[in-house]
Amino acid sequence: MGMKGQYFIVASIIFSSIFFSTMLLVVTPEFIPESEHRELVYFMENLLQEYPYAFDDGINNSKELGYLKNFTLFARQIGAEHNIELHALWFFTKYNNSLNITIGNFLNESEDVQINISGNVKEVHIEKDSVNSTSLVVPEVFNLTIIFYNTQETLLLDRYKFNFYSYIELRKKRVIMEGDVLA
Amino acid sequence: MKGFVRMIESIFAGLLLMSFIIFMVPSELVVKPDLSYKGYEMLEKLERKGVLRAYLFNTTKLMEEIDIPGYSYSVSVCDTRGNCIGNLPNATNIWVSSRIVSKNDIYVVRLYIWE
Repeated sequence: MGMKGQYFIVASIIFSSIFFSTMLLVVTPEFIPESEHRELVYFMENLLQEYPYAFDDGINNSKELGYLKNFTLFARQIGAEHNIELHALWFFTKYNNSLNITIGNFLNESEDVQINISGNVKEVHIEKDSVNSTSLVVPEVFNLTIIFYNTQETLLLDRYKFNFYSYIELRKKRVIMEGDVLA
Repeated sequence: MKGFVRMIESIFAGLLLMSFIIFMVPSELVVKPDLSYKGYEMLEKLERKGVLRAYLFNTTKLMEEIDIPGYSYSVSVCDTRGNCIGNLPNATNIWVSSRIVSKNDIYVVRLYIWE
């Protein structure tokens, strides 16, 4: 009695199982509950709203640098409670004969930040979770271009105003959300 | 050659059979609702009304402003040093929503919701 037919059926089931398993792995995206995505949106909105308040509170207490550092580290801690990773890079300016720019790097690695004001370019190296500053001579109103972490932003600033800018990146599982705020 | 044709035939037959089985299996997942978004919506509403900042140090007043029908809830406000005011829930299966507030110092408002 020949048994070849049964071998073919078994082979076909094996081949089709492999085919469907591979297709399911390739086609099916990772399941991300909507609530997790919404949590990122709420946290991002919260930070975009509160960073300017934090900067103002820092100025009012003449401790803007320490206040912003504390705010960022505390926000990172609160984010971690909800399994959200927070990365941020911010800078603020103060004018006293020249424009002093203080940059805080709370991204995942050290950064070489490039500042360009009317062709006058300065590059500032900042270690992870630290702060560095530089000075530039500027007109009363000027465009400042900042380049970091594959991000480029051009901002219209006034030298007599306390300017604050923050870039924020939030991550939860495979969802990444970016936002920025200028105050 | 005949065997090879039979094998191709049976592969197609297998594909048809598997397709039928896959389409018959229900694909929708039943996800238990996550209530934390209700908390985030409430915290955002309080912020828009201006009461979150106004009553930051008065959790009783904050509680009066919160209305989440059908659920129990409580509020705590903590500073960066871990000093907290408000009530922690004495329950299991709690959803927590947090909102950071800067008001001369840095605080986190946590809204706990449970069934």
